[in-house]
Amino acid sequence: MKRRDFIKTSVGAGFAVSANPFAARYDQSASRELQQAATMFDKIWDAHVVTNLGGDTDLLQVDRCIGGGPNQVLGMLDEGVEIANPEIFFSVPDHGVSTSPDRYTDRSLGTGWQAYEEHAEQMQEMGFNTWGQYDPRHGIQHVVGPESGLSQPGMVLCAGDSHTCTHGAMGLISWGGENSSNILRTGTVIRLHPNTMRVNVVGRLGPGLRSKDIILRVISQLGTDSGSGYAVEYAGPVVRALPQEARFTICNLAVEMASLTGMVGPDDTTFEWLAGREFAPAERYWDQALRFWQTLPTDDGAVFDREETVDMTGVEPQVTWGINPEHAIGIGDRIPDPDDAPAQKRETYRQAIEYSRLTPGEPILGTPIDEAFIGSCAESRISDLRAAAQVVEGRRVASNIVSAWVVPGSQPTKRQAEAEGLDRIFTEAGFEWREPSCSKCYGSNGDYVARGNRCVSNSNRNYIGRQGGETNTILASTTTVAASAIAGHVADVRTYL
Amino acid sequence: MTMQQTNQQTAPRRGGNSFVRHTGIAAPFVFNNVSTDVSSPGGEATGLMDLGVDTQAKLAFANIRYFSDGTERPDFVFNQEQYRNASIMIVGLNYGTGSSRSGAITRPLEMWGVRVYIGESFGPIFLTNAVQYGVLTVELPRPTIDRIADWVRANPGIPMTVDLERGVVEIPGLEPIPFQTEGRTRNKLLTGVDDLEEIDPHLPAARAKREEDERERPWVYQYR
Repeated sequence: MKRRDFIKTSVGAGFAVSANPFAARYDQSASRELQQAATMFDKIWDAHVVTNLGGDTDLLQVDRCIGGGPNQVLGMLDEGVEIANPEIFFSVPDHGVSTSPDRYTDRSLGTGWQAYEEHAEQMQEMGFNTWGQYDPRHGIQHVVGPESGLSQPGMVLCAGDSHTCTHGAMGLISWGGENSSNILRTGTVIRLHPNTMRVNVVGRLGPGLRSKDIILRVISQLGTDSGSGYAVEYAGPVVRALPQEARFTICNLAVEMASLTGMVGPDDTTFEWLAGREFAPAERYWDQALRFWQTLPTDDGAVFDREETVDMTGVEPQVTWGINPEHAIGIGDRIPDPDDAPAQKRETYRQAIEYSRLTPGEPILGTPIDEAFIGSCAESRISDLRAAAQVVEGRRVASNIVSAWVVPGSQPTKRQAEAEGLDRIFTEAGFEWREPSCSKCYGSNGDYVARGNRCVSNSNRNYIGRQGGETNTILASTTTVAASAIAGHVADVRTYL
Repeated sequence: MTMQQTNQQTAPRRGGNSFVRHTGIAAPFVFNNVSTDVSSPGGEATGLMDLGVDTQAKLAFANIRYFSDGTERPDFVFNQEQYRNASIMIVGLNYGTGSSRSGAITRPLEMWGVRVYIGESFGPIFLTNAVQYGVLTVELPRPTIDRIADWVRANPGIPMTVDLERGVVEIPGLEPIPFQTEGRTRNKLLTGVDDLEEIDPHLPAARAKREEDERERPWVYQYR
């Protein structure tokens, strides 16, 4: 019997759950099939099924919703609807918040958060957790969720923003695009069970390469559409060796391969990173939680619907030349010629060349840039800032760069960076040190790339107009962005190490 | 709630929208990996709002629809005379990938009444949003997409019918083109049942599950 067939017949049987929430599913003699090896995705999914809604669609319990959504929430307050589980909702406005240092005194900066602040007290009375722009924990949702310990292995975490998939690096299922108000009303979400894919990253990671290079390479090899209909687990020795914060970058871009979510199996790296954070399990629960988490990783012999392998040996730092994240090439490569592209990609390549104003056959190295941006939910954590500062220290941003920004992902990250003196390294080099929020990644609240400019950016999207009208985005790792800002053009970070 | 067949004027409401069939003119827009950043750009960053591109409808595809002075780009499909009244879009691979912007559905819906997308594949969040607004996505193999796009270019202004109930695209002069829609999505579109209505009978079960879960995973609930 296929796994899905089993779920269809077993769900709603109301089996009791014992000490390990998964144990019932796997120990019951009536479900011998399920003692077969299982993927992490299915273990977590199955443990959250409230009921099957027909076919492969299930109603799932949601453990956390980390959203901004003042509009949705305020609408609900106006309607006076009943909130099922306000405690699972953590409201952190990020998209509408300006990164200007003046934002604390000038209330006209940013959009939406003002109405949010006005209702914060009311929301708190109803049991919401509201971390507005004055809260010391505030920041980008996908940075603060894990950073505060809210995002934990084994959870289902849903929200509105598409990069909610980032949290999957903790060993949980998370995805965006959901209606937060429905989650608040019901504590559940309806979802079609996706297929599962494992991407095994193997080989030797060269010097200067970061997890951003890994995921850009994966997407360029498999395609921006490759994850469509799948939930992806990133595995293999290269991923396993990554520190926790680097894993967030990988899962952050899972949605850039059109996957529902990205995940990495939790291990000691994960558990050690989580321990001691504000919302991490209290000491009295830690051992119990840890035992449970250790059951989560995909079992040996578990079958995925699709397996892919990407070899990082010999791969150079990655940069994008075109208009979607699949258009990534090595720093030593040349800009591709649409005429040489596969037939079905040719038209999009032509559109990309026209939009990017680049010349096929020319090296990407040395491409002039106007702006540099370090921030976003992809790579704005403390380890990212440390790595960038290492490249920048003692150097100056090139004179042709009209804007070079560093936007830390959260207030705790910003405070930590300042305690380490990273802010001074950046400002002395000529970078602006800004307040946390989404910023130039998607062009809002005055934080966008100027029309006609080309920006090298450590964010996650390079689609037409993403950072502003008639702007070009070159996606790269944080350190490649730092090196390029110093060089004044697309640079090879390896010469700056 | 019922929706007008063409040129939707009122702001669409999320949830509880039905789709049975739609007849309209199609516009070919067969690019791969068109992101929601393209179909629904952030208004301010377009730099066009002071030039009159200042409503949800006008912002649809703004960065490829207008020049920087606010005038129309002739290469954008809806700016071409034969496609101005189109309400079906023929798209490529992974259409609507990227951001979770519901404007990717609602802006073209408000602007042109786009009720149907026929494409090779779609971004996951775009699919979620489409169902919520009673918009149909039809997945067909690329050669079929290309054939439909060719027909559209050769037959400007002639409408086609997309029938979800019968699972078929009917194009004058061509054999009917059958398509599959995942069962629950199909049912949801045909009936217009809202997610909340669908979840409601299961709320007691959801509550019971959470109570049990709280005993089993107390650390998840330690701060309530």
